[in-house]
Amino acid sequence: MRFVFKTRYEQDLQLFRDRTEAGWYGLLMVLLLAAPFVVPEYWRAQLVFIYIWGIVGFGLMLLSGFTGQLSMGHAAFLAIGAYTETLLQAAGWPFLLSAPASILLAAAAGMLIGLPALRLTGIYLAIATLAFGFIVEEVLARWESLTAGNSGLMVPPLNLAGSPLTNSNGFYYVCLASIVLVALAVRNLLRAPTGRAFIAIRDSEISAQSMGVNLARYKTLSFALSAGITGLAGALYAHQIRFISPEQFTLFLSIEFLMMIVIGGMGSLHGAVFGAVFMIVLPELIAITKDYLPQAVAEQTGLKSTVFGVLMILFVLFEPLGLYGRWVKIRTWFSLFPMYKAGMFRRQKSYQKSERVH
Amino acid sequence: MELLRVEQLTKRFGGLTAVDDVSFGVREGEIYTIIGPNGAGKTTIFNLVSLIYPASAGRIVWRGEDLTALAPDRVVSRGIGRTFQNIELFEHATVLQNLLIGCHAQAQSNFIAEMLFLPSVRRREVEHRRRVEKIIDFLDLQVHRDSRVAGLPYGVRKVVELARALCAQPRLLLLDEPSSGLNVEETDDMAYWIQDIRDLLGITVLMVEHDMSLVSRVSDRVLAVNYGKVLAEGSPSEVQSHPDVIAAYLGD
Amino acid sequence: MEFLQLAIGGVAMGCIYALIALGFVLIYKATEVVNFAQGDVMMLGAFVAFTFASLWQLPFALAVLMTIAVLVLVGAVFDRFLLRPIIGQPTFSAVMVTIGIGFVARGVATMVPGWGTDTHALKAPWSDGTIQLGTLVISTDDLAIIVLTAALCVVLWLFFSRTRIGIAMQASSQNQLAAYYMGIPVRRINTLIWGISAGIAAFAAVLLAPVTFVHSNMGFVGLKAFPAAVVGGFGSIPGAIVGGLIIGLVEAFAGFYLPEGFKSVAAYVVVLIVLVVRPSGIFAEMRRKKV
Repeated sequence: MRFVFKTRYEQDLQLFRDRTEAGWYGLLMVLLLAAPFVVPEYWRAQLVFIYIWGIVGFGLMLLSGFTGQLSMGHAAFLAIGAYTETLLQAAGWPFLLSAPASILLAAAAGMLIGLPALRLTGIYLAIATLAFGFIVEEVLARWESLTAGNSGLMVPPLNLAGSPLTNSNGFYYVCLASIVLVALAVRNLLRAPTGRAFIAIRDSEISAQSMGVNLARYKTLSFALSAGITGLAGALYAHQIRFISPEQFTLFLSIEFLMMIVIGGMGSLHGAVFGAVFMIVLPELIAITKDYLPQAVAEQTGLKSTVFGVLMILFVLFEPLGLYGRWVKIRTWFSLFPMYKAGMFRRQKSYQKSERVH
Repeated sequence: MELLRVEQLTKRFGGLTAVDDVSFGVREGEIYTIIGPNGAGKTTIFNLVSLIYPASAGRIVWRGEDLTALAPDRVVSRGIGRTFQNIELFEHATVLQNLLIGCHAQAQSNFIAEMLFLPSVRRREVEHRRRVEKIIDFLDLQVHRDSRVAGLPYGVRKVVELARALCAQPRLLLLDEPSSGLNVEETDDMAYWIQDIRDLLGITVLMVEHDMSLVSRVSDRVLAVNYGKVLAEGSPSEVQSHPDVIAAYLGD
Repeated sequence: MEFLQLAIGGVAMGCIYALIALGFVLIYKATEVVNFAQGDVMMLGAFVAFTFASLWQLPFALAVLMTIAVLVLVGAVFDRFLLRPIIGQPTFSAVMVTIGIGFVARGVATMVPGWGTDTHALKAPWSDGTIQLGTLVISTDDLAIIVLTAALCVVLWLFFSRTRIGIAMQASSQNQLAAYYMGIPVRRINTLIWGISAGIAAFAAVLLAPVTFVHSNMGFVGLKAFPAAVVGGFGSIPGAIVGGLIIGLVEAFAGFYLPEGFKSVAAYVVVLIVLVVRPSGIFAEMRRKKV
C-alpha cells in the first residue's frame, strides 16, 4: 500500500497527490492525444461527445454537486451557448471571440435565473429552473427572426481564428483542450476560498453566513460559472452535430444531465467525467446487447428509457457514491489487499432534519 | 474598555416576546456568561447579537459602532465569531476544510485569480493553513484533521465547531452552550480551553451555559435571564445567590 | 360569452392539474419527497384502464374500479421497495429515484404488447356529447371532469377528516415522531399514502383519456402540476386544488388572448412570478430553520 509522506503544506495544495498519480494522468493525456490517429472515426466522434458532456458535467457538478443548488434547466444554458456560437460564427466571428461570447451570454442567463434562486431552496429552486428551461426552449422556437424557430439552424464549420478548420482532428483537439482547461479551472476553484464557500453554502447556509460567506454573491457566482461552462459546451456541441433546433434542448436533456452527475458520483469532479463516459457508452452497450435479447424487447424504443431508469434507481439505492465511488472502492480493494474492510466506505446515516415548522 | 454594548434589545416573534428590553455590556478580556432556565431566550440573544435575527427594538453597539442593521455575513469581519448550539458544521467536508472556511472572513477572494491559481492565491492558502494548524495544535485536533465531520463523535464535533470559530480570529467569541452533551473530562478540557482562549489568545468570551460548576469556575461576570427579561447581573456567586434567580430555577 | 366558454375549458383542465398536484402534495406532506413520476403514474393508469375497458371489453365502471385498485397497488409497491430503503438519505436521492421510476414507466409502457408507442382512444360512457346552456356549449367530457373531481375531493375530505386511517395520516404528515409514539405505523401509512396518490392519478387518467387519448407521453401533463402546487402553496392540499384551477384558467386565457406559443409557457411564467414574489404560494407553508 502506497503511503504519501507529506512534509510541506504545499503538498496538500498540489493538483496531483504524488508523482505516480501525475504519471497516470500524463499517460491518459498521451493516449487521448494519440486517439485520432489510432481510433476509428466513429469512436473519435464519441470521444468528442464525452468531452462535451464532460464539460457540462463539470458545470452542473459545480452548481448542484458542490453548491447544492439543484438545477433542472441546464439544457437551456447549453442551448444559449449553441445558438450564440452558431449565429456569431455564421456572421464571421472566429472561435476565439465567439466562444467567450457564448460563455458570457450563458453566464448572464445563469445570473438571471440565479437572482430569484437566491431566496429559493430545494424543490422550489428545482421548479424555478425547470420553468426557466421551458421558457428558454419556447423563446428559441418563437423568436424566428433570430433563430429560425423550429426549422433549426445549420452550423458552419468551426472557424478558429480566421479560416475554417478543415481537418476534423482539429476539432477533436479543440474539444480536448477545452475540457482540460475547464477541469483545471474548476479544480483550482475548489481548492481555493471560493470553492470552499460553495461547499459551505451546500452544507449549512446559516453557518456559512456566520463565517463571512455572502450567500447572494456566491450563489450568483456559482450559477454564472456553471451556466458559462455549460455555454462553452453548447458552443462545441453546435459544431459537433452541425444542426441545432429547439427540440434538442428539452427538459429530458436537463434530466439526463442530472442523471449523469448522480450516476457518475455527486460531489467529485471525477464523477462528472465518469458520468459523461457512462452517458455515451450506455447506448452503445444497449445496441450490442440487443442482439442477445428476445425480439420483442430488443426492438423497442423504450429500452433505452427503461435501462436508464433502472440504473438510476439501482445506483441511488445501492451505490450512492456513483461510478466514481465504485471505482475508488475497487482501487482501494486492490491496494489494500488482503486487508480491505467491508465497511470502509460506509457513511454514517445522517438523518435529514425536517425544515418544516408546523 | 467595553467591547460590546447591548441596549434595550427586544425581539418579538408575532405575539411572543422572546427577548424583552435586555441591556448589558461585555468588557474586553473578560468571560461573560448568560444563564437562565430553558426557553429563557439566551440563544435568541445570541442570534440577535450575531445578526442572524433582526432585532425588533434596541441597539447593538460593537466598539462604538452601531451594528443593528448589518447583514449577517458582515459580522465576522467586524471581529465577532460564534458557535452554534445544535452543531452547524459542514458535514460532508473534512475537519481541515471546515477550519479553512473559518479563515474566509479575511480572504479577499477573486474567483478569476483562483481559477488560474496565481502564486498570490497559493501563498494565501499556505498562510491560512499555517493559521489553521496553530488552532489544531491548540485544541488537539491533529488526529481528526482529514476525517469527514459526519463520522466524528459528538464531543469532537463540538471542539471542531470551537476551532472553526477561532480560525476567523475574532475579538469576541460567542459560545452557545459549549459544554452541552460533553462528559466530565470533556467539560474539564473545555473549561481549560475557554480560559486559555482568554489568557493566551486574548479573545473576549460571551457564552451561554447551563453547567453551573463550569460557570462559576470560568466566568468573570454572569447575567441571569428568564422569559426574555434580565433577572440579575454580577459575579457568579452574587448572581447564584440572588433570590429572583433561585426562584426562577427552582420555581416558587 | 367566449370568456365563460374559455373559463369552463380552463377549469376542466385545471381539475386535471389539481388532481395530479393533489397526488404529489399528499406524498410531499407525508414524506417530504417530491414525486416527479406522478404524471407517468397517471399515464400507466390510462393504459391499464384502456386494457380493461377496450382490450378486455369489461364494463366501464368495473374497468375504472379495477384500474384504481391496480394503481393503488403499484404506488404502494413503489414506496415499499424503492423508497423505503432510502429513508434517511437526503430528499434529493428520493427525487432521483422518482425520476428513475418515471423513465422506467415510460419505457415499459412502450414495450408492453398492445400498448406500444401508438395513440389509443379511450372513451367514457359520457364522452363525445355536448350540453347547451343558453349560448354556452359545454362538452360532456369537461363537465364530467369538473363534477367528478369535485366529488373525489369531497370523498377525500371525508376520508381524511372522519376515518381513523385518514386522521392517522394527517398526524403522521405533521409530526412523524409523535405519530410513532401514538402507535401509528408511520412507514406503512406512507406506503398507503403512495397507494392513494397513485389511485388519484388513475382517477385523473380516466377523466383525461377521453380528451387527450392514451399514449406513453401523456404524463407530460403532470409537469404542469408542479406550477400548480407551487402557486397554491406547496404542502397544502386546498392549495393544490386552487393552484391547479388557476393554472388551468391562465392557460386557457393565454391560449386565446395572447400570441401563439404563450399557452405552453404560461404556467411556467406564472410559477416564476410567484416564486419571485411570494414563494410560499397562496396557502403558505411555514418553513424556518431553527438554530
